[in-house]
Amino acid sequence: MKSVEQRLVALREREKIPASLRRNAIRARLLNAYPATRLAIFETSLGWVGVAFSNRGIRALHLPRGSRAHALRDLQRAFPYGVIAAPPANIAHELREYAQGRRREFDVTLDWSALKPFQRAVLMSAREIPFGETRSYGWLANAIGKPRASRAVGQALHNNPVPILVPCHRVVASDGGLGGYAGGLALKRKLLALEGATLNL
Amino acid sequence: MRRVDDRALLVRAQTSAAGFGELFDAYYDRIYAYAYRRVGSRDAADDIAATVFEDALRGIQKLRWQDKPLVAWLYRIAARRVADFYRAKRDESALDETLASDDALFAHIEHADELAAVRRALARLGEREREMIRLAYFDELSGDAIAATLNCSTNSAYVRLHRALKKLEKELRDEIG
Repeated sequence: MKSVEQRLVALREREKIPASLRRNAIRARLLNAYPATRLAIFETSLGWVGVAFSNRGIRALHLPRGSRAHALRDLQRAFPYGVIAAPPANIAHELREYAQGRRREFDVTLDWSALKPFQRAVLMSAREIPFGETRSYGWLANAIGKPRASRAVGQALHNNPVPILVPCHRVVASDGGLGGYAGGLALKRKLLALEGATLNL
Repeated sequence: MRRVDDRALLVRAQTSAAGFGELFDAYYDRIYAYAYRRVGSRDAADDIAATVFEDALRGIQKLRWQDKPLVAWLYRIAARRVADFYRAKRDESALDETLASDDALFAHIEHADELAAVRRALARLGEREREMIRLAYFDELSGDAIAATLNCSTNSAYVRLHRALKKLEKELRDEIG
């Protein structure tokens, strides 16, 4: 009498899996979409900024660090497989101008592909807050049609991969308090002061 | 050996399109066969395998090496995608899910009597037991890979597989006598 294993093996050997018809087309499409991550750091008057970017755009921006080594170490820790490259056109120049108070808007492409829909919606709305102005977490929750989601909005902003470019520092508590900031409240205050925003503190 | 290879392959797949191509070449056929066994159509199997690798492409930069076979990560994604496929299908029509997946699994097997008996015995197992046997004997995953796919310990994977086999054996005795 054959064992149950032998019978299963016999069954598998009789099984016929027809070859894939679209394998090559699928392979070509995927490789075309491959977003290699490149890393760059550069100095601004606020400190050393790190960016991670793909051929689709900026994936992440690291807020200013005190030294080149510090910025590089943090960036490589977050993207261990990123390849060091020259920063994409504009961004270093535009961030330097912004840090000196000479630029109000950024003309850079962001790569949102790694973000979940909710966070993407929050960040896209936050991106519309004009230079030098502030909005509350509740205002942003309303703007994306989820008025009860202030807390989740705060969380999505806290995890903003591209601070400054998406100005989450312009979102403050509804009582006029500063709210939170992943880069520390001192930096949030500094950025708002740089933009000339007024806070009722 | 495979684990060392997988670890290096993961790094290559995370750093270059060519490396991701290697990952694709190493595992596409297995994922396609996995999907085909569960949905029974070439077109649907290619659709599912393509979304599995799209998900993989999106997630690979964040994947950290955990000393588990890469293929288990792909099978986990594939399991979700096959479930999505049946969910969408169920929404479309009131098709009986287990019936469809059993037919798909064995649709292309010739009906030798003895094998037909194995097939009938398999059909009488619970879905979880049947899936265990599919993973081990049809997808030919190692114990470690099954454990990583099902997100349980290797030990508990072996225990579950052993139980499923015992049950199948009993069902077969009833079939064949």
